[in-house]
Amino acid sequence: MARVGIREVAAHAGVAVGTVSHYLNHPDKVSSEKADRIRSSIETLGFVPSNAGRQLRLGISTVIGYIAPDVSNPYFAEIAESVERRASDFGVSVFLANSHRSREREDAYLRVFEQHQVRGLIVSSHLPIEDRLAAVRSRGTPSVLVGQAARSHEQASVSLDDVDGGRQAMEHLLSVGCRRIAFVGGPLGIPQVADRLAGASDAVREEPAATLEVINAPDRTIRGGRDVAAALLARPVDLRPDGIFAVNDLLALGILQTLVAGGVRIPEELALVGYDDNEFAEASIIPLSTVRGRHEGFGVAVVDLLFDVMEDKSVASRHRVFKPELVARASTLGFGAR
Amino acid sequence: MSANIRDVAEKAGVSVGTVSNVLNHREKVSPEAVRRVRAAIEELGYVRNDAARQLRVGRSSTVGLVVLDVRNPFFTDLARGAESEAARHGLSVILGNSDDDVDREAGYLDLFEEQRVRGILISPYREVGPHLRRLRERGTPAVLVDRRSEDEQFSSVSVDDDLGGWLAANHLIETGRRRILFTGGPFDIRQIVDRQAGARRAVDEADGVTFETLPTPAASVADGRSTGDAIAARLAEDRPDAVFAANDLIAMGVLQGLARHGIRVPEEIAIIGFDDIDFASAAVVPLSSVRQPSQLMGETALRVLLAEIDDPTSAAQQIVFEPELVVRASTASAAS
Repeated sequence: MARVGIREVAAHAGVAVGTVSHYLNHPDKVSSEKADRIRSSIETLGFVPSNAGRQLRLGISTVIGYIAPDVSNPYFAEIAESVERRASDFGVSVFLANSHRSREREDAYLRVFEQHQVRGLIVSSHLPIEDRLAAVRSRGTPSVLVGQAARSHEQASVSLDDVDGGRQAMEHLLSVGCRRIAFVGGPLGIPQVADRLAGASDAVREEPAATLEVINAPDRTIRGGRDVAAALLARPVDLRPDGIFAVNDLLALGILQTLVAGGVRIPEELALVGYDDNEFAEASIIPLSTVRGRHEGFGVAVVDLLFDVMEDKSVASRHRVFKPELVARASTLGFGAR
Repeated sequence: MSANIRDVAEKAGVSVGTVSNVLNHREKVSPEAVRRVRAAIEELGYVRNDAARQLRVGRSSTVGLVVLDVRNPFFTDLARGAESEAARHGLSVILGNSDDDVDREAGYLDLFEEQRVRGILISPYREVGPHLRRLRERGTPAVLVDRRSEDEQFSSVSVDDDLGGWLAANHLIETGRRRILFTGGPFDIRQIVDRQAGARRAVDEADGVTFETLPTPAASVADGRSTGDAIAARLAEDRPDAVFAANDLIAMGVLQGLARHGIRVPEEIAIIGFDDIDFASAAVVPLSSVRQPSQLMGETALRVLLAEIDDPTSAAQQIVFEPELVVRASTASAAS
């Protein structure tokens, strides 16, 4: 079935095609009598103004895209929500896409959004992505990288100081008395993971009696955490760590659940720290100590920076870095008590 | 200025028609020409303008999904199911979050239609509105998810919420609870109304069980915390001995709220949620729940949508999954 076009609307309303076009783009400039006729023809014929067509002419759109590795992770869902709230202040809608941590899917969505001519992109990624974003930018779609600091000056980014966050988590474990500490996370090629480990390693080096074991856990989910904990339970008791720093809360929650079910007393025998302070950390079996990355102003900063780069405003810096903050709860406080 | 198809043709030393054939994967192009065109595309940074192409061809390779709350893991699990099925068919899924708001829902539907998406999956807020109906009449197929359709023209993939509500309340009654409080909202979401109705039916079938409803403005952890606070503010004898929360997020909030006031779960008050999200089993007190097969629902909905795209005249299908009771510590019997 042929779609109703602008010509059919014009014929039905008895006006020129140009008048319909004018009505669609500058309704205030068309006489109210003609506007009424056009409106009623649009309604009768079921005409949809083609945004795609309009965008081709005007080069504008009212949509921005957010690509995240995994919106099931509350950390990204919270960013998505705060971004949406801010974008709606500007009358802009947000399309979300899940890359599922796959480079192929990430590329597919970059392409999809570019082809749909979104005004700008917000991207969270665990993969090296700056070159790809630079290519997209050079073709006219600006972006803000979220969650990792961009290395190039041109690429806007909003991130957390993950080295500092890793150091705070480790210093906290050391301060409650842990000495055989395990870092759980991976793959180490991911900047966020590498930075948290770097900060943690710095802190461990300052305590000569402490050791750090790195347990590679590339599946950073609750399920991944359960698997790590099952492996730890299989070890003789004296070979288990007495402190664990998990690189995100999902891993920490999975570890917590399986260790508790396996009879390990937390925090008396083993202290555990996560990262993100997601909505569930406080409500876990044993309230989880964690590093809070969430800030009230995070979503606002992301959207505002994107609008600055979209409008090509000169900004002092295209990089915003937030400071994380340790939140101590029951999963670490009370370590060593009987 | 970005490169266009003519620039690519010139660079590759072929005709514009040949570039077009390469882009559209026609087989009549020689491998050598394909190689030259690809190299030119790479070098010039040419992006095919999908919007322009869609104006001619008609449809994109994208499916739009509108969910009620992107922060609810139930919906993101459902999205994951839809996405993995879409990827198998070379399609992408873009997500819009209506956030329980009828205007935002309409806004996303308009945007998806204007973008000429191949089809739409939607968990509608309130009833199927004129927007969705018009969109379908104009040729964009739509399938409802997590919600049985009252309008039999629309296919839907859902879970039997009424049965789920019944299972939850019946479980509370069988484990000795007598004063049940249902909490959740907003009540213009069909799923919540149905879960409450099912719970009420179970209560009506039993003797000596009371049922009250404490509505919440939305269905988040924070709403659940407010319910927990409200219960704690009552005299002990006026409190319920069991809470059925319309979803797990609310249930986890109730759990936090009660714990904050020193009320013991399940000894004093049992709690059961709905959805069985991953976090339910990792809660302070592992949470009993009613499981929905969320990923499977997403996959199934995408398959139903593809069937409608292939054959727009096919009859609408109503697929209803059975929910499953999952018993954990939060509803352990008060006596034990």
